[in-house]
Order: sequence, then structure tokens, then C-alpha cells
Amino acid sequence: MKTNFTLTLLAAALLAAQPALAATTKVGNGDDGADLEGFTELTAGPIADSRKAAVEHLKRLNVQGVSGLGTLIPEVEKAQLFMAKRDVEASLTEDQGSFHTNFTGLVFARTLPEPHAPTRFFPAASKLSEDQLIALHIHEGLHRALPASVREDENKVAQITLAITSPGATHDRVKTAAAKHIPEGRSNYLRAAGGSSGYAVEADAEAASFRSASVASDIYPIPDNAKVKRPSVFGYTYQRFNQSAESEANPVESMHSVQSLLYPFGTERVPIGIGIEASVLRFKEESQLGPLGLSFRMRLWSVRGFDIGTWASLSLNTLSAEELKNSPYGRDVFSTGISIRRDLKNFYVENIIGVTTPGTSTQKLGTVTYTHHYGSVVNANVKAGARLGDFTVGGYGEILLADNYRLSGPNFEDDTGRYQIVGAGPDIGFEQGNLGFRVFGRYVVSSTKGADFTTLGNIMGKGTGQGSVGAQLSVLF
Amino acid sequence: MKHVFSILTALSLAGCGSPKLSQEAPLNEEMRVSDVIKLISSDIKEGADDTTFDQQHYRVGPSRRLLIMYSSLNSHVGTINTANGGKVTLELSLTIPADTDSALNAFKICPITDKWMLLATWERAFPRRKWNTPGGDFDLAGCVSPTSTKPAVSSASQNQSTQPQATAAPAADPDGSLYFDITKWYLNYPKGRGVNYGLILVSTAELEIMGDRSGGRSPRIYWYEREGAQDQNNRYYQFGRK
Repeated sequence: MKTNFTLTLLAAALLAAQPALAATTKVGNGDDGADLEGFTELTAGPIADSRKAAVEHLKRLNVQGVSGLGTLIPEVEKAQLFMAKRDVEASLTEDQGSFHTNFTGLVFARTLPEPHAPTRFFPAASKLSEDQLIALHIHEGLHRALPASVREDENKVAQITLAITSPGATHDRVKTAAAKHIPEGRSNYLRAAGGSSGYAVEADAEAASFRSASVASDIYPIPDNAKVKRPSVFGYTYQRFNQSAESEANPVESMHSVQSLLYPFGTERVPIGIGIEASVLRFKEESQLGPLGLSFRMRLWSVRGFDIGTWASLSLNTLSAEELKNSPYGRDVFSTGISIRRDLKNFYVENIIGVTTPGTSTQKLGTVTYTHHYGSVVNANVKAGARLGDFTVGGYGEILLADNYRLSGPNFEDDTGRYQIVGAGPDIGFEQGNLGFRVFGRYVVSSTKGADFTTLGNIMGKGTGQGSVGAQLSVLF
Repeated sequence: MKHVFSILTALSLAGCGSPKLSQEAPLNEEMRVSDVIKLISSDIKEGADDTTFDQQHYRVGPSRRLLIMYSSLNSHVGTINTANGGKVTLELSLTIPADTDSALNAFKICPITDKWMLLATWERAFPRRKWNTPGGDFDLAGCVSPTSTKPAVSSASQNQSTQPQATAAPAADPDGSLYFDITKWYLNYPKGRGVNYGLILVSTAELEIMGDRSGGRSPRIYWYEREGAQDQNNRYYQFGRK
């Protein structure tokens, strides 16, 4: 806090002393020859040390998540630092910024307004405090990291520097300042792709299309705990099923499963990944390898601040034990769907809509073979709950609408017709750092045609029997 | 092509309607083994318990009953000859022939009145549905008791090409075979109602019978039909399909 306050005082004083800031100024070229008196690289000392503090400050504010500031941390952290042998006076218009010179007109530092350029310090900078040096590092880094149309505008760069170094600076404040002064609001990878010269031209044409997204992202910044920020999951889940009389015929007592959902593709706002889930089913007297789940997944942080997930998964029984293939669960299940989630400070709500395709499985009992025909299933699910610090306490309700389940065999046929299952259950979670833990339950509240989760024939997706209780331990990253 | 088909159809129909063929063809005995047999017991809860089907023998008793299905009978409904004493007979075999007298008093075969499958239990006809009465829904009025002799069709009846006359075979030492006259069941259910839910063996005594894996002594049914009747049916069916 003290650091930020000092930085603000420094910045305010400098702003007041520089009337030139009222107008747009240029900074950073400095190639008039006056500063070409020889430099030595800085690898240690107060200036080099203050750079580490500047980087930590930027990381605390999570500026890499601010549109337009994605490369600020690397620019500050990686830039080469040089020290001039003697001071120079601020003779250039580019030197007129308050962050560049002192009251006597001596230049503190210069940089070229392009990515990866070094920062050149002058002896005058040696008299600055650590807080002042932090602001100076960030300011020079901004000249290199901002989009080309902004980076040479000393006034805008100064305002963003102030937002970053002011007391009580937060991620949201920095984001608001960036949105105000970077109208393009586009991602840095585009800036880099456009280059420093070409970008300014194309930015005008493309600015409009990105402006709405930029403003929206500032209104609805991605919170640190949003799933879209840490979509990858490696976890273990245990579920114990509550058997119904119906499922006595094929009793599965419990299921252990390991999930690895990794999102290596896409962008920060639209991560794309692939998931693998392996399971072991526990029957009364033995355990068997259960279905193998493969999934393609994508998340999206919407312009209205919703966390959206989509998936298409295939639960394969081809790798299961022979006994499982000869049971009602021995079928491949393909499902796809979308989830829409909104997290508020103390509340969350999530809608999930999914579809499961129809399928069949055969069950051989002695010399008699029966065929289970499963209809397609539409699933509408609502989760909601309270967020209390690291805890979430909530529950969910779901309606499953299924087409006919038909069981046929020698001189026997049973057809349920279309049926529905209404399910509900609690969902209590705890997250701290990268670790997550949750316990949950799922129960049939009501159903038609005597159906329960066994009737769906989707043990990995919906379980079996009248419901289940479960626990999940996961690593989020 | 159309003409050829019409001629073939006409010839076939003419053959079907010929009273000469049906009257002159001798009565043949048909036999089918059961295709689904299931033991239900008040102390077995799991329908998939593999001791309740596909066994060499089954122990039946007051709380252990046997469900028997002959789905192969369905394709013979309409050709089975039940006129003038023609019968449909179910044969069960005891594992111990000396139990014959006990079985004659204890056993009854009754028509099942609801559908069931191999996952049936004492409580449930199939996983999604309970029996109305634990132990199976059956028609008590339609129950029949066994005899130790097999009903037969007299050779005189066959030679005269008249309807079969049931006669009792000469008495012999009991070999453990029990015969149930299930003609009424056939007439009331497969033929009369068009439903075949099978039969249930109810016993008041603990006895053991041969199962569906016992080869030549597995539960089976017999009936009589004119030679070629089924073939003709099949031929018509094939024409119809063409």
C-alpha cells in the first residue's frame, strides 16, 4: 500500500509539473545521438532488482488477462537493461513525458516503441527510489507492449501507468483504464501479428468489430475462479449407487473413475481440449473394467460474462469385460451438450442441456439372448448455489426426457413408451488454489413408467438405480 | 412374371384347400423342448442368478416354482390337431423315479397370465414390473395335475383318416416321467387369445426335476398335426413374402 501511494505521489507530481502532458506527445525514439555515448548492460543493482518487484506487481494485478496488456509482463521481465555513461537533457519531444525526465530536465530512461527493444537508463535514474523505479520499468514496458496506435501516445501510456501503480490498483481498474485508452482492445497476439507499422492502419478498420468485445470484457472480466481460466482437470471420482429393485438383476454397487480433461488448444477465452475417463465398476463379488470415456470439449467466456462449455463424449464399452458387454450397460453412448454458467460474488447458476443418442445392447442369459433398445435422451439440468469463500453449497435439479426403452427376447417384449425422470441432489464443493473437492448426490424424485437411472443404460453419464452419492477430488489448472 | 406368380399362387391355394390332402395325410406327433425355463424362489433376489436357468435339474417346492416357455409353439398355432381327443401334452421328468407318486399329488401345471422373462424373480415378472401376486401370476382354474402315462392317438383313428382318438398307453413301471394335459391351456391362451405366456409348475412338496440341460429328458411338449400341414403353411408364407 505504501509503495502504491508513493508511486501515485510521484506520478501526480510529475503530471503536475509537465503541462506538455495535456497534449499528445511522443516518446522513445531518442536517436539524436545525444544518448549514444556508450552503454553498459545492467544485470545487478537497484535498477535491475526493482525490475523483479515490478514484475511481481504486474503479476499480482494479473495484467496478462487485460486486453492489450498481454505482453506487458514479458516486456518488463525480458527487456535488456543498459545504463548510459552520462545524463542527457530532455531535448526530444519524446522525452517530455513525466516518467522520462526529472525536474531539472534530465532524462531517466528511454526505449524504442516496439516489442523487445531494450531500456536505456541514465544516471539520473540512479537517484530514484525503488517505487519510482518500479513505475519507470512499467512505463517503459508499456511503450513496447501496447498496440502500435497507442504505445507512442505518452498521455495514454501515462494514464495506464497510473492505473497500474496507483494505491489500491486492481485488475478491474487496470482493465477499465486499458479499455478507455486502447480503443482497439484487441489481443496482443494480433498486435504482434500486425507488427508495429502495419497495425495502426488495420486497427482502424478492425477496431469497430473488436470494440464491443473489448468493452464487454471490461464490464465482465474473467474472474480468477472461472472455469474458463482453469478448464483442465485431473481428478478421481467415487460414486456409490443406490440400487433399485429393478436393478437387482444387474447390481452395480459402485464406480471408481479417473478423469483427465486437458485443454491445450484455443485461446484464453476459448480453450479447447480433449478428455479421457476410465472407470472400474464394483459388483457384489467382483470388480470389472467399466466404460472408457473419450470427449472433445470447448469452453468459452462470452461477451456477456457467461462461462460456456460444450462437449461431445463417447462412452465406449468395447474395452469392458465380457460380463459387462453381456449386460444392459454394455453399449456405446454418445452424448453432446452445452453448459452455461454465471458466477456472481456469492451465487452461481448453471444451465446444462444435453442429448444422448439411442443405442442397443445384448444380454445373454444361458442360451437366451435379450436385446435392450435405448431411446434418445434429452437432459435439462439447472445447478444453483451459494458461494461462501472457498465453499460452494448448492444443488441441482434435472429433467430427463427419454424415448422408448424396449426389452425384447424370446416370446417377450416390454416397451416403456416415452418416459421421464426428474432428478435432484445436493452439490457441495471446496476449492483452494489448484485443488478442488466436492461431494454430491443424485436421486430420482419422480419418474413415469417405473423408470430409474438404470433404464437410461448410461452408467458413466447417469449412473444406475435410484441414484448415487459421490465424492470428487480434482486438480484444476 | 406377373402371370407366373398368379399361376403359382393359384396352384398353391388350390393345394391348400384340397380336403383330400388334409383328410388323407396321417397325424404325426410333433415335439418341442422348452426354450426358456426359469426357477423363481422366495429366497433368490437376483434375477440374473445363474442357478435359476440353464441347469441340469431344478428343485421345486412350496416356495420354489418353475416358469416354462415354449415360444416355438407359436408358429404351430392353427395346425395343431385337438379335435376328437387330440391333445397337447407337457412332459416333465423327475430325477428320482421313486418320487413319482409324491409328484403326482404335489405337482400342478398352471397357465401364466402375464409376460415374464429370464430375469424374473419371486417378486418380479421382469425388472420393471412386479407380479400381482408374489410367486407368479397364474390361472388357478386352469391348473392340471400330472399322470404317469402318456396319452396317445390310436392307430385305427389315423388309418381311417378321421380325427384322432386319445387312448392311454399300457401301464409301465414309472421312469419318473410325468405328463400334463395342457390342451385347455393351448385352446384358451395360444389359440384362443393369441398370447403365450407359458406355464408354471407349482408344487406342494420339495422334489427335483430334470432341467433344460438334461438332454433327452428335458421338459418338452407333444402335439399332433397332419403331415405337411406346417410345410404348406411355410410354403404359403414364402409365396406371400415373394
